[in-house]
Amino acid sequence: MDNEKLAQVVQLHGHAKQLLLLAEENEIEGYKDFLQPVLEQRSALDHIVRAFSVELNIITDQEPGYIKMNLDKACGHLYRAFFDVADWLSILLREKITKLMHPYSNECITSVAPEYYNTIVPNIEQLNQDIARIRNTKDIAAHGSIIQHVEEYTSIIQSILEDYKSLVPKISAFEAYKRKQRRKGIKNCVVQIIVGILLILLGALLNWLFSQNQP
Amino acid sequence: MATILIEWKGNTMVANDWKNAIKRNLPKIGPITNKTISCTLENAGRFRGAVRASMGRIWTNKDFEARRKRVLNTRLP
Repeated sequence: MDNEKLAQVVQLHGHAKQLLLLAEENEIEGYKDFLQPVLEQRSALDHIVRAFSVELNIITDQEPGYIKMNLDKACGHLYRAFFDVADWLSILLREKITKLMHPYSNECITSVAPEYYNTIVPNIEQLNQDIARIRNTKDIAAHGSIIQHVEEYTSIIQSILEDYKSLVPKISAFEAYKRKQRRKGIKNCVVQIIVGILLILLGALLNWLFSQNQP
Repeated sequence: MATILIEWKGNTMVANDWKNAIKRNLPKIGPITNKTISCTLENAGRFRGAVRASMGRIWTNKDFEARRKRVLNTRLP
């Protein structure tokens, strides 16, 4: 049996499982599970068992290359399972960040967390587009170095999760900025009202003086 | 062991011939729908399994796609 292929199976399953656990922990809408990755894992298991059934001589009437073919298919299913979970997690993270940042103005966000527009938003937008594109690819496992690909996306998702976690402690700073802007706004409003009243009084006074000086 | 013959997809298969079952493709599972969830809930007490699945807390394909569309179309603040 091809140990390299088996190692690939193990790594793919490990990465998909890691993201699956993160997705389950971070799910906010009804704590629901997304079963699509599980169905892919079920198919992968079937191919792995088929490969081992020939390896262990339980089944003996298969053509050469049967083991490799089934391990390749198992990798294909696990690769798809990974991207199904990555899709779920990327949507979750986007939702969580949207809900977190929604109450604050652009000015507030730029002042308190400038990295949000510089790094976090571009990363999320790119990730969502990439994952949608990859999921729509028919021959999903045709990519040359799938482990490298999978590791790249795992690190991107983890960095967005870290970014989200770094924004949470800044909520107090966002709220303080918001309160400060509100006080400033109220103060400006009061000053404008007072100036307006003074101008009206000045106008009335000038009008009275002008009428007094008329013959 | 007595040999039991069963019909499956137009083929006669020996029920205790599990080796033949390994070579066959698994049945395709269709989209997860509300009916899937209601059947799961009806039978949850009989089987061990994931807690969320047994409580019916599963995304249907339709709801997941709707959520996906909604979230991706919402502009980030």
